[in-house]
Amino acid sequence: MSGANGGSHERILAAIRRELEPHNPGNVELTESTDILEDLSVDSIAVMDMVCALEEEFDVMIPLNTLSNVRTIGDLAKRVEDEAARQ
Amino acid sequence: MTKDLFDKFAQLGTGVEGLKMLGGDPFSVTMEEVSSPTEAVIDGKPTVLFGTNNYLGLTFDDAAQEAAIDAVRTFGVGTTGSRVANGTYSLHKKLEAAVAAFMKREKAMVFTTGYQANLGFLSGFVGRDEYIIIDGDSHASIYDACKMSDATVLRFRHNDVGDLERVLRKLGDQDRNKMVVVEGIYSMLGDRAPLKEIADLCTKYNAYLAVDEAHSLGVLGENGRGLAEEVGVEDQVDFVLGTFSKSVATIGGFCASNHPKLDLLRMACRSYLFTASMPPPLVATAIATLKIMEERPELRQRLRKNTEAFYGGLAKMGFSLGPEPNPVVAVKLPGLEALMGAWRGLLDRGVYVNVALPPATPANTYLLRCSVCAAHTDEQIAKAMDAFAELKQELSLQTAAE
Repeated sequence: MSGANGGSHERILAAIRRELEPHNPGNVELTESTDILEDLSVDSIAVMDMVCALEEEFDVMIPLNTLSNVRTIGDLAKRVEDEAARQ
Repeated sequence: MTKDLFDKFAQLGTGVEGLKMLGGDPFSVTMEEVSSPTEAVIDGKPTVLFGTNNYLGLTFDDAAQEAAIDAVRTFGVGTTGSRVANGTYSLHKKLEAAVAAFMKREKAMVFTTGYQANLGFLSGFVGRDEYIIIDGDSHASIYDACKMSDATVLRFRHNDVGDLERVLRKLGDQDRNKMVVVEGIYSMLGDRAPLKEIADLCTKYNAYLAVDEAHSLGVLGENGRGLAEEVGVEDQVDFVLGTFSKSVATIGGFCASNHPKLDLLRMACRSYLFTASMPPPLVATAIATLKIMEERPELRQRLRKNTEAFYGGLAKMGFSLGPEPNPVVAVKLPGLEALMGAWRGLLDRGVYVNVALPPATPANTYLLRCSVCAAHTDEQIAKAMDAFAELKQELSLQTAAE
């Protein structure tokens, strides 16, 4: 991605990868299309904890009821970006 | 080809099969006979119960049994209708008055279960353009309510006052209602909410505060009203939620408040409107046991003493436990195999406790979830301690061998 948000997109992706690393014992490659619940050993509680960490790091609010369509790392990065842009 | 709807549960099925191989299915234990609040027959064997939530041991109380039987004879075995149709009997009104009096609140409304109280209250009350802010370790009923609600749902890290403040500060002073929801005692680790600090934050940031006292009602506070009473913040708590399925020894739930308009929720909470009301014997039981809870504070004292003996005994043996002694005592084990071995080992020694597994547990912990009862005798606690001591020895032998 290029443009003003390019850097932050990468930064968000890096943060998500960092948060997911402890839940990736099988060393699955963490790409934007990795399905967080299906491809990794992450349960819904761990996902919510990760969201708390992202909220803190990027100073955003990500309501739980906006997470139902988030499946992949890319989806989650986009949620954080959208909220950052909105707030 | 049509797919089988059950395909998505393949992993669940494998999980249960795995558990059976490790010591039996802990989720389908059957009590063949129950002879007291603390004793049952399981697999043909007399067993002491340390996993019941029956904190005050009132399930076999004489007065409660008589009240239930009398209500069956007077009002029948069920109401077959919603509270807003044919399901409100004088008994339900009497119970609501009893709950309000016990909780020292102006008003109370009763739901058919505690689950439905949380579900209906939160989802019906907090709506569009409002916020529900929940603790990360909230009970499933609170999470489910959030799913049903049109409110914006935010979550803070379990018992982390700083994280709650981060959320409240971020919301700023916008003109939208905020409801913070916490529990008195959390059902998995048996830890309490830092309620004084949370209540002060709610005051500071102008948020409503609802406390689910499910596991703390009858347990904490000088009069058993729960954690808010114990830490002296009842006037900062706007809504108290609770259940009759623990200390109150039957089933049902409630919301109590001093808000003069509480009765409007009777028309707004779907789990109140669209379900049949509590059956008469259960209503009569709750009225009777609430009265006992008021008249016999020694039950709470006995529960405290038993809790300290049970928690203290396990701590002394070196088990890793929840952070503080409350009647929910969580014993943390290193993994599924150790957990199932310990659970089976206890049951074989005539001691029943619950199994709690991820994702129902915080931080992927494997827990033997025990609960202490006021009716446990010193001998029963000693029996449990002996069983745990033997297990501890077996576990350390295994760990040493690995």
